[in-house]
Amino acid sequence: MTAIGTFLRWAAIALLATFALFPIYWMLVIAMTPTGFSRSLDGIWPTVFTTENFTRIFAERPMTRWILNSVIVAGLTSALSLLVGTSCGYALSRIRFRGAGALMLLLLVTQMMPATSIIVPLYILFARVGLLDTMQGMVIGHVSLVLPLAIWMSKGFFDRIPSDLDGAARIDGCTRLSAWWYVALPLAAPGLAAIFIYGFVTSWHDFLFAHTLVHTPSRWTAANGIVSFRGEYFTLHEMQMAAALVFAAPVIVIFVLMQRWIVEGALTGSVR
Amino acid sequence: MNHPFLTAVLLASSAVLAPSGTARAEGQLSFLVVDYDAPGMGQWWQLLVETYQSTTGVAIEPRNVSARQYYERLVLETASGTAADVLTVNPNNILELVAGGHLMPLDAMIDAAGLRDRIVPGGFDRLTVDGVTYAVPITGRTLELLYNRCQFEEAGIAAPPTTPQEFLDIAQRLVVVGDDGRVVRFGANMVSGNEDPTYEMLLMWSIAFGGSFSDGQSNFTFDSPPVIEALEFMRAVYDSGAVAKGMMESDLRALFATGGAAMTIDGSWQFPFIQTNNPENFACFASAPVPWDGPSTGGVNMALAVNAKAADPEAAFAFIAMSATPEMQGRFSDFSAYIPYGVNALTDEQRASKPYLEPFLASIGTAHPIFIPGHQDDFNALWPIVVDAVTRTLVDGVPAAESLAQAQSEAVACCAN
Amino acid sequence: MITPRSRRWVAPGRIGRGWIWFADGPGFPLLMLFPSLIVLGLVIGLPILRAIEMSFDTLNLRRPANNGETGLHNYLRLLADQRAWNALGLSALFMAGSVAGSVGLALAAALLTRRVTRGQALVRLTFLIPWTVPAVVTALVWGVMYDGNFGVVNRMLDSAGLGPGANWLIDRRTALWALLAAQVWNEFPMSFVFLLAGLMAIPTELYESARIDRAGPWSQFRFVTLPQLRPVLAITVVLSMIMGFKAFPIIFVLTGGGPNRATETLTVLTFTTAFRDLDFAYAATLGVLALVVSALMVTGYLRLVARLDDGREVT
Repeated sequence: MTAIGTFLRWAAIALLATFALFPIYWMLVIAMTPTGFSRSLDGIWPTVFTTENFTRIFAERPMTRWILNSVIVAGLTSALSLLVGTSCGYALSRIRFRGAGALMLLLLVTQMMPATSIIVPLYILFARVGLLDTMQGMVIGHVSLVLPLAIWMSKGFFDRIPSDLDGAARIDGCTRLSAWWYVALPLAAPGLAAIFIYGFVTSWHDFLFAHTLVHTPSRWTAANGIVSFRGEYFTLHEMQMAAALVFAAPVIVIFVLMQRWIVEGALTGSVR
Repeated sequence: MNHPFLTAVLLASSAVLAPSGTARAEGQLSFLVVDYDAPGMGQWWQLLVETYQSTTGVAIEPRNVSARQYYERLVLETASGTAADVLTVNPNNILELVAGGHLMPLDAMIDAAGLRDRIVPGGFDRLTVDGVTYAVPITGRTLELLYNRCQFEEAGIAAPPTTPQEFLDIAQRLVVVGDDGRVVRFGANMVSGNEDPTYEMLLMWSIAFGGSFSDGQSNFTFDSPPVIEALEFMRAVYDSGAVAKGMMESDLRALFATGGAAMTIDGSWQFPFIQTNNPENFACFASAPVPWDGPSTGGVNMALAVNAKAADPEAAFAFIAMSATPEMQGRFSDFSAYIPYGVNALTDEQRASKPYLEPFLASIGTAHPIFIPGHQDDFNALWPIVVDAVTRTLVDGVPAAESLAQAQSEAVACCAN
Repeated sequence: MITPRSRRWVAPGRIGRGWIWFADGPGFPLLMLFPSLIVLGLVIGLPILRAIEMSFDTLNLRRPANNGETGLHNYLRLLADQRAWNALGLSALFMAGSVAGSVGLALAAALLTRRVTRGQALVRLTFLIPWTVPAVVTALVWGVMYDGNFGVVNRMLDSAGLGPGANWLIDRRTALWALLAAQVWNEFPMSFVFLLAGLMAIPTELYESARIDRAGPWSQFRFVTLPQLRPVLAITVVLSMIMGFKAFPIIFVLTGGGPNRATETLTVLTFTTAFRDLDFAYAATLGVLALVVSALMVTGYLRLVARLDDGREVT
């Protein structure tokens, strides 16, 4: 690549990176502004700093409880979606049956109904079954959000793994189940990481289920907690941004650890 | 392990099915409450719950909901039949709750407890439907003129405005523009966003010009001269550059509290906020009666009602009645900036320590309701119509008479009796 | 050589008893498919069916007089409802803008990132960061940035000499585009991940042979990159379409559908119909409309892509 080419590439990257990062920078600016003053911030570089918002959110609200709840719910969601999604994806990949294509499309269609239309019947259903205001209910709700994409993606991965490999395992005496568990899954491991991350992030950010299905404050997740700063009369933007940054931290950690796997995982196992 | 897969499934399902989190507080009475854990009003609610629990031994399960989600949760819970025993309600939503059969009539229990005399006269008015009372008022609020004395002094203005024209003039004088042409400080606040406070703003100025949104017979009067004058006045203020355009109401409040605007027409909750977040300048902030000859808007803000399906209505009502006891009413002002509805709730000491409450206390009895009498259950249909009319005039420049004529016909179409 | 850990050796084709029926016999599809179908069927399927059922009902909590009446009346009302068709149009417009913006941006970012040798992890992470912020917070921070007087967007335009910026969320000419910018910002990382992975899966030999044929960068893009990327691009666009059509928090928090319905998409209208007008049956009808339109758009798009695939040559 020519020097001009490289320079242009880096200039373009810098431009896009500015677009991607500037709002985060602004979140930080707001979070470090004394409460109430962020509305009248002028200029790009703030002049008054304070860290009181970060301490206040932990002192005035049960932030650690919220983060813990989110970690538990998101962790369970991603683990369960992984388990259930990959088993379904494997079956759809290996077993030829009519209507598989239609089923895949139906999976996508489940995502298309606006949440508002589903929320009242869902609330009533969960109330009847006794899942209202429970962590389990939230997990099941989140799993239903993640599952369609998990199935779709894992079917894709398994399609790329030649079925001769699990066939060989079966000839050696494995059950189909073991072939799935011991052969197919490890080969699709990078893809599993991608599904795990997608599930974790979706559950972490979800506000609809977390807020509608759970009302005890001790069971609130991060998403609920952030919104609680919007009061009836005042919105405590500064503390809310501080909370949002704190809540983004675990997600960023997951990204940093797994970002290699995300990229390799979305499409994998192609060259064998 | 012979069957690792099976183990994994068992582990996963036990994680899912096992009881989670902290042990659930088995309450005998559930209570839908707004902002239970927030400082201020929330602390008074907590005191009420503790007092009730310790005196009667009946446990309360508070269902905390944040103010923004309150209405949604109320709708969801009542629609699905899982509503709490004691419900926080307000005059805006009480009609639809009664129409749905969700509330228990309270007249007998109120009279038995002698509550009528302990509540400020007129307190029950807006909570009574067809002669039957369904809720007990707890808090009220009105909106008065709030202004920044220090900024007034700096600009050489001696007194706050007492007429709409003075309001506009003073607001224009108090604008401070920076070197870059951007406003550094606005003269006043005026809500104009796509939210229901804009409806109340037009209502207030309509009252200022001698009118209202309806006549004595519940007919809509959106196209009457006072309302048109009010909207034209709002347009003059908007165009003068003295107010911030397009900010949400909660942000405008923060702007005033931090010195970004010199005047506003708002409630008493501003003062605790200023005390917490702008304490060095707290002495600059003062209140005055609204800049017109007439009532303020407001009234009952929160009331407590009993769910028609409550298992133990007596216990539920006892909880409500406890809020009206002198002990609880006496502590109210220590926590909350609202106006309590108990008779003589504030001691002289409390009044002296909070001089800013005077205009609010004076106006609570005569406050003009926000909803339209006779159309309480149409509030959610009417406010978007009004706000659309305001937006048409302020943002799109449609003449006020035209905008309001359209609002009138839309209101009649949707909600005429 | 795979060592079977299972003690029971079952010859293929033999139907056994007990759990073997599931692990290896005809029960296997059942075991694998059942959990997913149960969860999805109950949690999503049932409510969708109930919502469809509600759309034929009357359930208005504000005017309960006619509650319980069934029939096609909601659909007849929908046909005549100008506001709903407006909302549908806005939803489609918003979706198109959101797909074009986020997929376009993501593709550009992916193309730029893949050739970076040193510090690629950092660049990837940078483009992933907007994904760490939930939609509501995105809306709030962009709301502050867009403020007409104090907002940093206008301040930056001032210093760049590009004149006084508009009141982005109030002016009906700019409101939708302002919302799109925030939506694209929040959404493009997801497309970025898929597209980057798709790009990295393209075998380098294809590029080498193209270079040997003296194809310049643009030809390489047209004849190597695009065709190889087609399946991933298709799924990325489909997902982006679904998310763009369903977009809610950013629109609702920033403009609430205003000014005067200029940004009232179908999702916003459905929400206000349900939770402001308390007309749940009609809200369900609008939901069914959204479902049908999304399904049509996605199937239409996938058919189009399939037909294009057949017509084109793949290197």
